[in-house]
Amino acid sequence: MERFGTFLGEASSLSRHFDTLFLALFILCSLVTIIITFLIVFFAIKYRRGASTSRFIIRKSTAIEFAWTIIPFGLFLAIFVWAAYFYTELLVPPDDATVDLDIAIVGKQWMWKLQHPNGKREINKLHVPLGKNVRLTMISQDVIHSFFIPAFRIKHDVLPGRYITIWFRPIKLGKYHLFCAEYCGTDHSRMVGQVIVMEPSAYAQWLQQK
Amino acid sequence: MSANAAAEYTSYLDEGETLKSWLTTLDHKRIAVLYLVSITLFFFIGGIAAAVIRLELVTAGGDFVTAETYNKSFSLHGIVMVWFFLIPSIPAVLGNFLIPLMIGARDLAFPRLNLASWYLYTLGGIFTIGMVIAGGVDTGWTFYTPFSTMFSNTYVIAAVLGVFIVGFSSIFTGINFIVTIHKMRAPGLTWFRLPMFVWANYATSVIMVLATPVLAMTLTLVAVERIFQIGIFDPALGGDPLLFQHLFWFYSHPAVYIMVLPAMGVASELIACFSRSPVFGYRFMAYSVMAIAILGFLVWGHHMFVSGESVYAGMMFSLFSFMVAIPSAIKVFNWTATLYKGSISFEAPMLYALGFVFLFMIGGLTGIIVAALALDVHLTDTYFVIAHFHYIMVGGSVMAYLGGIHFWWPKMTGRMYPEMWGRIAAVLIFVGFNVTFFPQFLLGYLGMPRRYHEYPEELEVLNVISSGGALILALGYLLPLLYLLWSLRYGRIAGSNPWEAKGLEWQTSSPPAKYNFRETPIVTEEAYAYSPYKV
Ligand code: HEM
Ligand SMILES: [Cu+2]
Ligand SMILES: [Cu+2]
Repeated sequence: MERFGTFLGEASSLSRHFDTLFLALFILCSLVTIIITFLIVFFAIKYRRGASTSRFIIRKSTAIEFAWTIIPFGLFLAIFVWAAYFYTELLVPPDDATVDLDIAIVGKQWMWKLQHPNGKREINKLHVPLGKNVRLTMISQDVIHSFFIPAFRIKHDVLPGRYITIWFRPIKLGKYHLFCAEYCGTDHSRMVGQVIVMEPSAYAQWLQQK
Repeated sequence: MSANAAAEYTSYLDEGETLKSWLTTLDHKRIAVLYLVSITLFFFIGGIAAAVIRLELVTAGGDFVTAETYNKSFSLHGIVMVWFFLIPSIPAVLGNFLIPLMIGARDLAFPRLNLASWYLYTLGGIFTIGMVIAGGVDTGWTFYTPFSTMFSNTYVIAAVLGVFIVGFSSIFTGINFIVTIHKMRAPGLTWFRLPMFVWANYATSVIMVLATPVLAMTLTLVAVERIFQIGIFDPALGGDPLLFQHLFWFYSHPAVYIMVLPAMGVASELIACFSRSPVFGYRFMAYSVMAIAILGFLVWGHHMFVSGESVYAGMMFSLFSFMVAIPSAIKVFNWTATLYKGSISFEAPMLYALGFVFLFMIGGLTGIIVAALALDVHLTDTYFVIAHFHYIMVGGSVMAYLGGIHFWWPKMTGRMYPEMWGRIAAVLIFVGFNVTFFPQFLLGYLGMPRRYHEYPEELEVLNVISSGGALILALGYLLPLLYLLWSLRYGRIAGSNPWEAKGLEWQTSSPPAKYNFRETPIVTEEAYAYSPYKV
């Protein structure tokens, strides 16, 4: 996975939480797939036409049906709660007191324009300090775009005529992909950029550069 | 059939050979054949667009076609595959042909409406092809605003008009099926004796009739805003872009069930027949399709978890999405249980049906993953979602459709397809499908956004594998086209019931006469009165 570090490095405080939940569901789904596939193949062989085996059936199904209605119900409820709890963490930014840095973002066909608190601007690049809570306030000048940093596991659509705020806390130095994830016209796939996570001191220095 | 009766019998295919006799027919079986020919044409048009997409993605750079062409290709691909192939596929071809036969009726309730629905389909199709010749559309099949209404300078109005028209053909089909199933069942054929295929098409029809008008309305609003700039969706004019998404998915989520419920019906028929055992948990299977049809109307917001809908709305839609997954899971369990203690054989239709169950299961399970809110934040609008819905719609529904075509081919044409070729194609399609779409789960997990003409180089290997799989898949789809055509002339004569299947459609001759049954059959037994011991 090192090769894909610019995508999926565990680069934000939210990444690990995502990975745990994803892994849990991946295991669950794999188990179900393996069990059902095994049963299908097993029955297909054991009860193939011509094989000598008992085929006597008592077709009482109600109890079984209830069992395999209620078990998934319980499982799904648990997954729902876990995922929903984490969703609020992702989408509801922390309050003003715990935000370290506010960045304003404007999306337009086909670039990202970003502005730091001291007025410094950049295009298709986002420099951020390590370990700080960064809040993004985003709006679009034209169509809907979507601000997506895979390594941070965050994404949110950027709408015209309405401010959207999301947040993240980078926990690993490095350079990561920034994508536009909502189809926005001809050069949608070129509306990409880079997120650069720096030491806070380096970031402070960078902010002062002209 | 006595020798005397056989002499008087003319099959529906021999009722007239002129083009006019086909274009003015009111026979549900002939209309089904008209649909079969037209949707096959559109399947290959959609397929060509897909080939352009996969060819472009072989390399990370945008070198095979321009960004404009790429965007128009995936838009065309989506529009054609969804509205001109998958939605009409099983209902309009197999449903049209089989529902009257399965319920012991002479035709659908409204034969003229049935023909009108094919003409509307054709008209919509002509509009769409005209739109492509004029220059195409680049909005994607989803027509998101305000891009589609204010920014795209392609043929959006023609495109939405084509979809608008074809929508009415599915409303007409839905009305026809509902009335037919309510009113025209043979004596003794109670609701709980209906084949699952009929149940599934009934549920589908309810969705078609209730959801499609919303699509028509939404597309009209898109056209109106585009022409008169009245500010419904564009915030610059005082509109709300999310309103479009709510309306669009209010139709399009139920529409995904229009695409898969009939496939579930087909799978039930095939699995029961080739394992010689009644569908396990019949009543739960029937309740499940109805539950899916109803719950399917309550989950549209799961396409909008990061769109700006409220966090609480997101939670509600997520919860309902998990609920709709329960009846889907029940179906998978019951198909598996149907095999238990059966007497199973593996003709091509059964291979397709088993392939359907497996691929539908993967599609459904990954549906659970994207319904889990926090995971969807990362996965939405990436190739993970692309893989999820292709597993269900292509892996699932297209497999079931082909399985059904093979199964009922002898009934439709009176001839058998070549069995060995049938099996080879089924295996080829299964393998090609997985090689094409499994890597897309990985791509999406890594974060590759969908609708990208160019992409970062690290992802090239997985994309090359996917494109390679598409080549195998294309081959798999071409095969049936060839040998089924071949069989029209050279196939073995089938006889009225080559699979020794239950169900009224097998009690009449192959191909059936215009009037289907000489005498209205009287039903005295449950559906799927198979026994693993006979045969
Ligand atoms: C097991 C039940 C299912 C669940 C829980 C489920 C869940 C979801 C969710 C949450 C999404 C949105 C993902 C996103 O946009 O990020 C989605 C997308 C989609 N699903 Fe499913 N799904 C299920 C079954 C199906 C079925 C049966 C079909 C089709 C026959 C289907 C077709 C689609 C399509 C076409 C999309 C994407 C549409 C687009 O953005 O272009 N799903 N599904
Ligand atoms: Cu974009
Ligand atoms: Cu949906």
